[in-house]
Amino acid sequence: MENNKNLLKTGLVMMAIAWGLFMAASDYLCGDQKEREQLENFLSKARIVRVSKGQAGGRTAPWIVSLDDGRMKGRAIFKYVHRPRPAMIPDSYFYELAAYELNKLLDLDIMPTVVARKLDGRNGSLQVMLTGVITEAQRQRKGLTPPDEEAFQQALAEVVVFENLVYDQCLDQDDILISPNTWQVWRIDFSESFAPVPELLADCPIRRCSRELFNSLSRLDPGLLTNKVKSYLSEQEIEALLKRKDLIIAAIKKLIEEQGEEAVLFTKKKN
Amino acid sequence: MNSIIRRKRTGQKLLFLLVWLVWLTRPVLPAEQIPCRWSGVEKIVVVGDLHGDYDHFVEILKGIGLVDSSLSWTGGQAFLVQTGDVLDRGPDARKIFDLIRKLETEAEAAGGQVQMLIGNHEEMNITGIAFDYEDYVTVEQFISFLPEDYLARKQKELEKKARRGRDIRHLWQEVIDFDLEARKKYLVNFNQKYGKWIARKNAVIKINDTVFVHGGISEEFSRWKLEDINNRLRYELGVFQKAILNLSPPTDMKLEIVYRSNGPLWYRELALANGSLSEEQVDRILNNLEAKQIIVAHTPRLILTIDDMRRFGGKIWIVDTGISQAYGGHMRALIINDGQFSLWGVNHGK
Ligand SMILES: Nc1ncnc2c1ncn2[C@@H]1O[C@H](COP(=O)(O)OP(=O)(O)OP(=O)(O)O)[C@@H](O)[C@H]1O
Ligand SMILES: [Mg+2]
Repeated sequence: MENNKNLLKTGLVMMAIAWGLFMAASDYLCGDQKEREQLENFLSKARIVRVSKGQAGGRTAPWIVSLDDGRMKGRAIFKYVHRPRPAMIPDSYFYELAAYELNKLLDLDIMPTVVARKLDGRNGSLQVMLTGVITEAQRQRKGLTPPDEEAFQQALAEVVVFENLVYDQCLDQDDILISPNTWQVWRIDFSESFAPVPELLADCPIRRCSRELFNSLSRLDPGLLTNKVKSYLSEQEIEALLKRKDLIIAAIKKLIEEQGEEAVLFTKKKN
Repeated sequence: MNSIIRRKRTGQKLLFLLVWLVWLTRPVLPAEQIPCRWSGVEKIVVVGDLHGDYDHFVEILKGIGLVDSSLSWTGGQAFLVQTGDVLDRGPDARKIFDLIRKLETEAEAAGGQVQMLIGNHEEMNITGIAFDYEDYVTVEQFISFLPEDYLARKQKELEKKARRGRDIRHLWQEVIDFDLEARKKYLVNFNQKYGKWIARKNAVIKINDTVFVHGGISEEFSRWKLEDINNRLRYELGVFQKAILNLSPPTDMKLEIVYRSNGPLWYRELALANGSLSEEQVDRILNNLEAKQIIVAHTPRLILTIDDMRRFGGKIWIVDTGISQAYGGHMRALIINDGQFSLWGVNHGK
């Protein structure tokens, strides 16, 4: 009887600890900027506990991976399809990794952390899997409105600039994930981006941009950028990327000229 | 003696030539005239993703009475709709294709129809991207679509290695994973013998007031004419086939259907319970299609009662029940008889 009680006590304490760790981990997984490196480390080194294949949906059929480094647990999305251009149906985890490098260079925080890793003999990208999020499509269907509409619109404006830079689908409602507690906005799925098109997206006009992002773009050194992405992108893809960066800066400058700085640039509100 | 044989051979050759010439002049519909709409159909049997499970397919057909014990069509004027994804994950896609080909002719002669739709796995094997995924093209499927002479050669080569203690299955798996020449042989032969035939199928058909499609119809595609969807898909698959058969160089055509995430072969939202679609959107889609309901597959679902197939009050029906052993082997079919929907197979399979 006493034994059982003790067992129960120990069990409860352990559950509490596990819960604490889990909460810490999920906080962690929300991608605080300074913890990015730790998170990259976790994704790169943590023990693979479980791999679930064929559950995530999506045309690349990514795997859902459970990770544990003894200190924290978490789940991640593993993409291994690798069909870089000039394939007739381009789709590659390389483009995820290239997009993430840009995300870091520009000090944006719209992509969940992602690293290159080998799993079950396959090279791929391993990305923090956001939990408890809803897609923009689900938000609209449920009629949920953000507590701070302006902050939300600002976040979407940043996404539009980034989509023009990497040349990916405009505000795809299934690729925008929202944390319903913090209303942080995430953009996932870049595995088809970086088409070597030296133009901005025709159907995705840039209307606003944060001062921070505009400055980062303006200061971005082409040599540094090239260096960061050259393991993932071809010369033509990089050339077009650099061209789009310049076009974005020019487009924003033009908007400022026409509408005044206040209408175009904003200082990011924190949610 | 020799000369008689020679004369006989020449005669045979001539006969073959004649038969071949007649076959060439058989009435083949121009691709853009392949029908995709029927009305006044009394009985429709719908079978979902098969993924190489020939045995389960046969069991379903026999169970419903569409074929007899010698696998001849006994369905009369019924329509059999197989909603695509015959290929991958299981062993026997080729046997399924062969049976469907045979039944197509027999059913048509009886006033019925066998309509196999194009699924995303058919697209992936025609274009070759199935090889980019772990475990899609199984060893059995790979071998079954290799040209005979090449298969014999390769088999010998691998058996030699196997005698030194390697597992022959593993060796074949390595061929699938790394041997680019073997993959090319597979793709060319598959496309010649089956791909061209598959590419003359439809992605979307409409029977009475019901639309059938492998993945789904998104709002964007509900504004297309069914004929335009089917013709565009056939055109795009044709470009891939020409590139694979070395008839023309690869191009970077803008893909409007192939690999489009909201295209008819890949779109999932109609089947996802927590998806993004509202009932109003479903109504708009149906309205654009001038249809009462859409039957979709592609997204596996555990079906225990007919209600499990139904979404949005019967506007959407999901028939990917996981028939293949690779998906649990749940043998089911949806039967539409005079507008009444019923489920076959709850007591068959798992
Ligand atoms: N980091 C992430 N956190 C949470 N969910 C994710 C994450 N990455 C992907 N997912 C989910 O996994 C599924 C597939 O991911 P993704 O869209 O990146 O793959 P895909 O194969 O390129 O899909 P698609 O066919 O839509 O292009 C999606 O439902 C997506 O919402
Ligand atoms: Mg994608």
